[in-house]
Amino acid sequence: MNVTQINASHDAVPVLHDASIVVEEGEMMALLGPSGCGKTTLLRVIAGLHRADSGTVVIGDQTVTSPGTFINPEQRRVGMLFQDGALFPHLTAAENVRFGLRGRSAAKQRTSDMLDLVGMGGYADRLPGTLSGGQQQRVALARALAPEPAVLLLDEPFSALDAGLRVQVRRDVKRILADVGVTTILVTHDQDEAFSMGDRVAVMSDGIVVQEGTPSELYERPANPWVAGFVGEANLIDGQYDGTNAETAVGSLVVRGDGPAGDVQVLIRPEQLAVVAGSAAVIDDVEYYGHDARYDVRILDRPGEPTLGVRMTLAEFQVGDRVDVKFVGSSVQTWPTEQAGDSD
Amino acid sequence: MFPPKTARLAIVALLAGALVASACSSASDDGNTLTIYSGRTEDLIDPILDDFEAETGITVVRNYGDSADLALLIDEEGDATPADVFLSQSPGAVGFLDDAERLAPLSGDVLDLVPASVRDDDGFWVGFSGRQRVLVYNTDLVDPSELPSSIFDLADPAWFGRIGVAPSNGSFQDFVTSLRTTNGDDVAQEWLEALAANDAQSYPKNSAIVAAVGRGEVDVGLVNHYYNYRALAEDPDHRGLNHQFDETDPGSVLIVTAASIIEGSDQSEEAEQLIEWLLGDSAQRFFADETFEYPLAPGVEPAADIPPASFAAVGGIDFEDLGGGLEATREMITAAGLEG
Amino acid sequence: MSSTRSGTPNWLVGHAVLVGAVFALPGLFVFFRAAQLGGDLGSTASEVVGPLGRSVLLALSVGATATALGTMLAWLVVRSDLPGRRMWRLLLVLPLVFPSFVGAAAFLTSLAPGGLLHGLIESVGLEPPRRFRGFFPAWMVLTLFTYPYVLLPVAARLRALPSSLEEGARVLGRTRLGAIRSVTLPQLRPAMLAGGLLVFLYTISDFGAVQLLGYDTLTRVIFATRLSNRGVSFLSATLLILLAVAISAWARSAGPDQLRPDERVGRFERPAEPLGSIRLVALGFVSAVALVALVAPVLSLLTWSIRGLADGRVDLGELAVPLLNTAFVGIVTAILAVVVVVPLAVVTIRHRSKVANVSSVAVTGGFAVPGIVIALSLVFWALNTPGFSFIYQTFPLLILAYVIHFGSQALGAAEIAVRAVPDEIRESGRLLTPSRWLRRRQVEFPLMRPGLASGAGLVLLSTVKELPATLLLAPIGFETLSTEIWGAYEDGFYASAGTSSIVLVALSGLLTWALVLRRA
Repeated sequence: MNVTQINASHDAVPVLHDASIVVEEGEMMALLGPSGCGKTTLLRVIAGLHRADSGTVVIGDQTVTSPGTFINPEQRRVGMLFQDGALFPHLTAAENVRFGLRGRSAAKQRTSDMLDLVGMGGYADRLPGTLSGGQQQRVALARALAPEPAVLLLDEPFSALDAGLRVQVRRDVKRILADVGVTTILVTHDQDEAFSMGDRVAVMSDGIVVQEGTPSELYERPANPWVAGFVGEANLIDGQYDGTNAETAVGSLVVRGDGPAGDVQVLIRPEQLAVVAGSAAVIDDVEYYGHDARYDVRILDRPGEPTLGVRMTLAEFQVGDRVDVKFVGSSVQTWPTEQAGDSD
Repeated sequence: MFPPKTARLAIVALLAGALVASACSSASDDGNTLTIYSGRTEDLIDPILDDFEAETGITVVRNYGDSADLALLIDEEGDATPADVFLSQSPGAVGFLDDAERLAPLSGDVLDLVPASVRDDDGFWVGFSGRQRVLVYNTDLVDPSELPSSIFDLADPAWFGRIGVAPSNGSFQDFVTSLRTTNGDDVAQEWLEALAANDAQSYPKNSAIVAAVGRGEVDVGLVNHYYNYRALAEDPDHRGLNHQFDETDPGSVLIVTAASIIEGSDQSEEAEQLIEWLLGDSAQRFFADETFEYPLAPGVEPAADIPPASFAAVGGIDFEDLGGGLEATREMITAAGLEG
Repeated sequence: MSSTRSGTPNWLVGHAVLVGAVFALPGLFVFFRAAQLGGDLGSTASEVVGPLGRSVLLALSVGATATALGTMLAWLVVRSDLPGRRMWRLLLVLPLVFPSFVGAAAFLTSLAPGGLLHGLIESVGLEPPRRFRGFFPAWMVLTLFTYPYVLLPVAARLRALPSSLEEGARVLGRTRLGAIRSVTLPQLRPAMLAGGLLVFLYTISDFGAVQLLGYDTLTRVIFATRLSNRGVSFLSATLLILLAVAISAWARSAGPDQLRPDERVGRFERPAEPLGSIRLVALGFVSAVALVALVAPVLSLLTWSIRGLADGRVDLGELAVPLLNTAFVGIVTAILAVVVVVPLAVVTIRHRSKVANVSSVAVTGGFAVPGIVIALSLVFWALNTPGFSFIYQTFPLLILAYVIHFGSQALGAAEIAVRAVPDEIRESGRLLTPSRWLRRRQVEFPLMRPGLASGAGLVLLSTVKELPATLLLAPIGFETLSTEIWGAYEDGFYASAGTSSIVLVALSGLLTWALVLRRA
């Protein structure tokens, strides 16, 4: 599926600027961005629920949106899972699933197969109002998959669920979608969700697709400091780049890639740092997570700079302890300082 | 527009103002107070009542409403009614209260202020203004030469679909009652059926017929004379004109508006004073000149441009004289199929 | 707290019983009088059967068309990208505010030579009807004056409906119309039914318009016989009330199954549905409705009014006190009606109380009882209930009459509003704030507000134009705009009637905007 240079607006306020993504057959693409970045609008443009001002959408070999073309949503062969499930409250679970199968042979069989697939076979005659949120989303998934859509669009489908339930439903959905092998786009503002579900992730900001890549590419090679911070915890500190290394408060670090020498912003992930007993820094805060711990560390001779986040499996220090900070990673990402300033 | 706070303040101010206003308007309940229930609307009587107050110092509390509804209200209120005087647009409503024994007899002094033909034989009510039954016609649609001299001419097929009547209205019912008195039930019934057969159109009241004639919806209508003068005063382009039937025709009877005193009123003296006032010179002149009605007190002439009417024929006075009274009249109207 | 399904709080049950009893007062009075006067059943039946049939036929027809029209207009002003939606939302509600006889008279004036509609019909080369009377005219005019009963609750429901339902249906292969039919309409059904029921009840109780339009119904019998043959009058009123009760009970049973809580509320600002090529057609349609139902009668009233203002017969200043009084009774009644019926709606919907269902039928039936009957019944009860005569001819009795007459308009809306608060939200609210009142205020009330506002709006619009009860029950000397209109119109003072009517329409518009639309 190809989405190319989509521009779209709400009440004449532009919300998408030349947004483009490519999703391969059978792939799960996560669209990640803060709320208001236009990711849901992009999804709705793909579904045909929102008309783009310009740009094209091609699903399979069918152009569904382009200048001069607009295929109605009902003819696009897209399935959609809404944030609230959007089950039709006056229809039973089975009737909901069968809704998109009108006129098909063996609709009944398909309905019960789909309900079985999502583990809701025993709830066919229940009304949505009598199901839990997680159950409703399963039925909604069965409903969306039943007509065998070319693309499945998931619009923050887990955000309305309780935290505990969310992880479970997310896992189940991922397994089901992998079984079915349907091309999927998942819209989410939750980086965990995007990374755990998506084969690839497209990060959006202010109506623009900023970066597209696998979760590890995004985490390790973010396109700019904003992405770096959005997809994970990031320490951004000042440094001087000499062509190979960057001089920073935590030492001289090997820089990935290349660029002009000069003042740079250096991205250091918390797990690339460690603390040892020492004197140059002080522990401001400790968050203990069991499998690891996170320290807020203030370097004493750099007043005014933000504290550094450090993640370690050992939790031997306490607030107020004097420590030294060490870089334990292999290399870091940097951006020239001006560019970093621009992207804010 | 304006912010919520302003709107809220405005509403509070509005409510406060309304409370004050309503308190003021009902704050006059001292000793010498007379309460009237008036089927005559405010415009038709208020100045006279104001004059009466100024003249006598008696405060007149006025409850306006539809004559029939007010009669029902007085009946329902029973002994608890605050009403001292009931003014009715037509004899039907006073007749109802008379039947229900809710009226107090008037003194001979009051009764003698009008000719015997326009007051109750038993002395329970007295007419104070008259409205003549006439045919209102649309000047564009009816040639004056074809205007009938008698209501019986309206049975002619030439008038098919052209007539408006108000069969459920008191004045029409009073007029039919009068027709029964003068010509007998059979003639009345036959005439009603002829009207129905002529596809007479049914309207709720006189003013609606006059308006319909003005619009050209019907060519002619059987109404009280008063309404067309009103319509002409409202709109000089109004297309309706009154036509009187022959003086002797049952169709040109006079329908009186009636005054009565409610049984049990502890203000009967003041009440009689008020009725005398209504029959006095200034009030009668008001009815003649301002509301285009026929004054009933002897010696007061109708307004110059109102054609004279005979006092001999006064409609719907004594229901008791007729079998079944008003009820039978209405049943005849219904049986004729005039209402449907 | 004991407010669980199994244990309905006592005060709620008590309230339901009390409300049912109070709303049944007019009916009980009518039954009592009918039995006491002993009207002849046989002759009454033969006299009444024709008008009764016509009442039912007209009410069913008007109910159907007003429901269709009101629903269509609601969708256009709430969901579509119709130009000027905000303005239409207000304008399209206003036809409700014409007192029945004034609206019909103004409409007929507009059809007559010199009137707007007359000119329009002529300008398209047609012959304007000389006489606009009978079934079809009554059907059309009543439809145009009553569709707001449907428009308001349906619009409130549409606003609360999540867009994802229709969109879900679209991506599942339904066309736009198909999605509306299969998903939206079932969600709107309770609101449509509630509104359609009000239209039906209004139509069977209307006297002024149907009489002026020459269609003979049951109310004519009640009015025409009210002095001359009270037995027939009260028997006819009994029939009317039984008809209203039957239809209300039917509507309750045909209404949403209370075991199927099928109301959903949305959390998102919904995008407007693009009308595309039919945008102009839709605009033309909405304009046509506003033109015929609002502009044409208002222009007629203005014509009457301007003549009087021009030659000084009409003094606007005299309308100040009636204006304030009208606003006052309208606002007080609207608020009180909502306050009275909301607990009833709660106990009906959440506790599925049978008592409350019976009470609800009594409340609904009150709308079909002609105002004069309600007024007389309250006179009767106030004066014949020991210890209550002090209330007679006081302001509270007048307000009580209004609430009894128009409570049904708030009830339908209140039930929809109560359903709009899902159980989960109520329960999570309960965890967050221990105070019941705080919870209602902060969590439940905002969700119920669109529904309640639409109900209060209907009550307000009905109250400000109410006449018979106002004339008979208001403290003596209490003038409202509608008593002014009546007094003037009754004797053909059209200039004055027109001016008061215009002021009434303007006031209603302002109040509707300020109290209902701005908040919904």
